[in-house]
Amino acid sequence: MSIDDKEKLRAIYDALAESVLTMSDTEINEWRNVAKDDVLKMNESKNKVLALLKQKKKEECKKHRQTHDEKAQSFVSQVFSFPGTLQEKINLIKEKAVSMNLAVQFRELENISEEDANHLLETILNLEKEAASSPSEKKDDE
Amino acid sequence: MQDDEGSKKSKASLVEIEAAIKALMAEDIAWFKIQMFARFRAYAGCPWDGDDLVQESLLTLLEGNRTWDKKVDFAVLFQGIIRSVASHKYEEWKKDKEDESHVEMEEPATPLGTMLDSEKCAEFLRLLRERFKDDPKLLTVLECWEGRFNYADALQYTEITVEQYEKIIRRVEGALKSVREKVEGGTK
Repeated sequence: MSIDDKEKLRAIYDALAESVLTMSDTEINEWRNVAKDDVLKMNESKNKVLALLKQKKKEECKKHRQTHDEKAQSFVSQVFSFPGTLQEKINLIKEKAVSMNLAVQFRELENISEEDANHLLETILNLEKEAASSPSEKKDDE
Repeated sequence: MQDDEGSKKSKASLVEIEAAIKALMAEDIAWFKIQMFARFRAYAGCPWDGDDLVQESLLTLLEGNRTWDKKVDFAVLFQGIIRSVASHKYEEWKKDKEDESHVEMEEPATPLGTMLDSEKCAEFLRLLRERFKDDPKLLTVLECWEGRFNYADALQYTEITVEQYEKIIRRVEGALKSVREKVEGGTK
């Protein structure tokens, strides 16, 4: 008996909810004109929805940014290893000097120490990296 | 494969959902209907008020727990989500109340407490019927609603016009509001 009453009351509210959806624009307009407080509350509700949308968009942007940063980070932290022997290092320096149009005295390279070869190779590779990233930086400045 | 691509194309993106909900809010009548629908769905058994129900339904969509196939009208889809969220929340809350080992959930912002109290429900229905005792047509509509008749069947059974039916909806809504205040106020 009591369960029936609960269910009946729930059914009335359910039916009321469904009936509202079937109502004509004229009747709804009349209702809106009378229910001023409800209309005001509904306008406040719009602001809540807009705030929710804004928050969701922020979260999405943050997520994209994070993915982008992670990708960029993995790119930046790529490790390069120098060739094993001094002669191989000298060959690489020569190769890079030619491809990057650097003024290097090849003769002097024949007597270079391992330490100087490492230093020179590092400088050349840094120059190459800077040259590769400069076009996009220019774009960012614009 | 082609079907997959087709369904991907018809699934709405976040930007499209945002545009659709904004368009819905811009239509005063449609938005009023959605809000009233959510409010009464909440009253029918959900610990949240209509406003929270709308927010939660939108969140369900934005987080991708429900998707919008753009072939479906957005307002219709949104009504469906509200229905489903309200029903799910009611079951969850009811289970929590019945199972003492459950962690206590927040107290409802809607008349759900009344809905779970047999005596209050009986009193509620008695006062509602008493209010309309001189209006047999309206009482018949209430009977149809209690029996979960659909809209067309209710119209046919009561032999009233659509216009009369719409007036009844508003009268019942007004009566429910004041009876609810009486029933809930009486126990405070």
